[in-house]
Amino acid sequence: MRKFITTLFAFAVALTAVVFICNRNYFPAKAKGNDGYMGAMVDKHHFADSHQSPRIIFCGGSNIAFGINSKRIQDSTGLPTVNLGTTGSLGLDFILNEARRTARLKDIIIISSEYYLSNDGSYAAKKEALRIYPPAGKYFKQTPQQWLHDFFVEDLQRNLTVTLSTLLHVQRKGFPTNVVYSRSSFNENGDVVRSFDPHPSHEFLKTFDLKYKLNPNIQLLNDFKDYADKNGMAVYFIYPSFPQSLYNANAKVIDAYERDMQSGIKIKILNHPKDALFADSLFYDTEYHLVPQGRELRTDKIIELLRKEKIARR
Amino acid sequence: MLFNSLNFALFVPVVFALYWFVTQKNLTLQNLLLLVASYFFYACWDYRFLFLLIFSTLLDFFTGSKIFAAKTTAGKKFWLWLSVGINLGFLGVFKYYNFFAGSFSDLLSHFGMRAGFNTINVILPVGISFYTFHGLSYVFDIYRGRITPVKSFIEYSVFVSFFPLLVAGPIERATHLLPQIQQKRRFNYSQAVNGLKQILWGLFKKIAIADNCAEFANMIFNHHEQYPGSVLVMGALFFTIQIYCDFSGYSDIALGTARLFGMELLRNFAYPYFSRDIAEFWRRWHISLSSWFKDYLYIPLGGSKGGLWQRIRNTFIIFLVSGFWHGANWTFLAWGFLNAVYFLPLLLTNRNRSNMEIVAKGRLLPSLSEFLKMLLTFSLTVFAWIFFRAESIGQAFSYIGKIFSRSILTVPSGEAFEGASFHVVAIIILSIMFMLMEWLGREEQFAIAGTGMRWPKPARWAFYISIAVLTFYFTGVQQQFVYFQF
Repeated sequence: MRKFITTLFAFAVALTAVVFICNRNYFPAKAKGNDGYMGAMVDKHHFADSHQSPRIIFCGGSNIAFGINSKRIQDSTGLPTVNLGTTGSLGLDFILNEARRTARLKDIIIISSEYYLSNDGSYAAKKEALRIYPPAGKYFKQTPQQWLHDFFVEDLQRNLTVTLSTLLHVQRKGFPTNVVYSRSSFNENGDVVRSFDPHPSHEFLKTFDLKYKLNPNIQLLNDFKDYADKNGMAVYFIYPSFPQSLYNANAKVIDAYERDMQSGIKIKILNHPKDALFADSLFYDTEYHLVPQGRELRTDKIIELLRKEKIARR
Repeated sequence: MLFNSLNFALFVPVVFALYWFVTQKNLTLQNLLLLVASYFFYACWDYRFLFLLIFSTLLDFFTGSKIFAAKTTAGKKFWLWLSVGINLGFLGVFKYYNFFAGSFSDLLSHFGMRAGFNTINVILPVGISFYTFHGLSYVFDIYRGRITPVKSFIEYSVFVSFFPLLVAGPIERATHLLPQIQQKRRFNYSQAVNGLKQILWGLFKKIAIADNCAEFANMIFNHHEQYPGSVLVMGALFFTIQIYCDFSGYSDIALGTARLFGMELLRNFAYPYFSRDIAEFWRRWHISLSSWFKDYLYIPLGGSKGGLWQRIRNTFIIFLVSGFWHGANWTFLAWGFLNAVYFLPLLLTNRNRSNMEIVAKGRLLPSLSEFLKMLLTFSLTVFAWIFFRAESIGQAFSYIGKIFSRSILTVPSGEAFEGASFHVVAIIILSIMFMLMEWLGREEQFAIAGTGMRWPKPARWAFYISIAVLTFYFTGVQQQFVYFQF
């Protein structure tokens, strides 16, 4: 038995050593670039860091990325406006941690999370965000199981492919840079501004279905409010943009969601779900992604809300 | 808890340590540990069905001793049929009720009648087809006087529920496994190392080959109307490789794991795709099920003895039942029927036992005749798998119809694989390498059992590490084991 255990242990060590050697990134320049959608995180943070407070920081999922014209908000408030939104698949916890990392004294943070957004988000999305924007490592949590999977599978697959294709001179396709979901689609404030496909699929209008459940976001939002109060920041919440027909079909659930939010969160809510409804034709490829015309309409509404709060002057 | 999951990779060492370091001095305690571990393993799937498993175990344990104790043949028969009736009753309700209700309703609707059958919304308990057959073999063997009932319920329960074989076999026989459970096990270094090698090979088959082939097979079968015949042929080939690597990979992990606990399970696969005729294929594919049906159904029906019509009848019965065992769908029946049609000429010409030896034994390459026979058998098998994989008979015929059209001459393009052409080429190369490994190792219990035995240790280890790294590298979307649904 001792021989078996010793041999097994030695084999495990040898295997781990080989995997360690194989899963290193030996050709960083050849690694898949950061030109993808998430690559915009770097630019958003760069923009935020290069402006002094007070600033307006919008955070949320893709309803924010696709849903505001930050430059117009900037013009109307006179405050540098940062759109931190990328995707809801990062989860609200990650999104709020990004806001914590970015916000400073006197900043105004406007949160717009999608309905029943997951707190934890997708591990793959967070890992991709971490790869592109390493400071996110401070709030990136990994279970031992995920660590093992990354070490033995994910990193091995990615880096060994780069190593082999470089050594064997195999040409690999780069990331497409001329599509909506790419880094180059964002303007300097962080809004998605690329021209969209004129005939997107509206399949989501048939398949979307919202189910009532206890709102998982309230505690996180309240924790964030406490953090903002302690650090001299103002926080507001606005509901995400949403298609009229889907609201009609899910009105009961969304009304219940709103009631839970009103009674649960300490953050000041500036609007109602009904105020964020737009015609179905103003949506691109999901229930939260507005086309440019919709984005302008929503921006008008947001500026009006900010005016009421005496944040916007024009 | 899948065999190819981290949970299983943690579960086995814990049970192994308790088994060999804590309970090794007391056989009852060791068996009790195996039973608790097996029930825990099963409960990880769905704890509610654990009660069904325990009930089935109790039933066969009880009826087994009643059969043995009964003084008259009528008494023995009563207890036997009680066990068979209840066991098959459960199987019928959970696995076949919806099929029969639906098919009967469809039939009546053809005659303009409406049947009031409601389908029931039940989940098929994992492993029910396997543990039911374990129990049935036990009562059948007692009835026939081959064995005497066991006295210890724990020993019997381990026989039914031993975790490596619980959810997808091999379907064990009481005569084979029970004596191993009843006697003290000693740790055997060679057996354990062999077990680990078999687990490694099983994981490679499942993760690197089967799961990747499944990705393309699913894509092609699910959208077969969009593809030319040549791609559909590739789809059928992908499924052929997938189902073999999936199920034999599972069996390898099961057999290897059992070896770590000092147990030898029945061999389930013996390189079936190198068979020279269908009869040989069925002696090499899912051996534990084929031999179960042979012993408990085919031979009691008269087997290959008797008149012409009796032999034909028996052949069709066994293949149709075998097909139906796989699932409640006409596609499985069609698959069974097709195999019966393949098998029948061999039986009727008394050539069904002409290829008993390993092909090209002691030689590197087969003769041309052997190669052509293997190619023909493989092609027939691929064709039959189309029925097995299809969602319905209609889909199978539509799939086959498209294969036998002009589009079979179309050269498959990269676009057919939605931008995954590099990946598909890699999987094809890997599959070919795998088949070569299988060919080279066909005289062993599993392909890499004897590989590198004469090499220096570093070279041998490098070989095993390469297999492990390839497995990690080709890990894709984790797929359920195909046979778990049966």
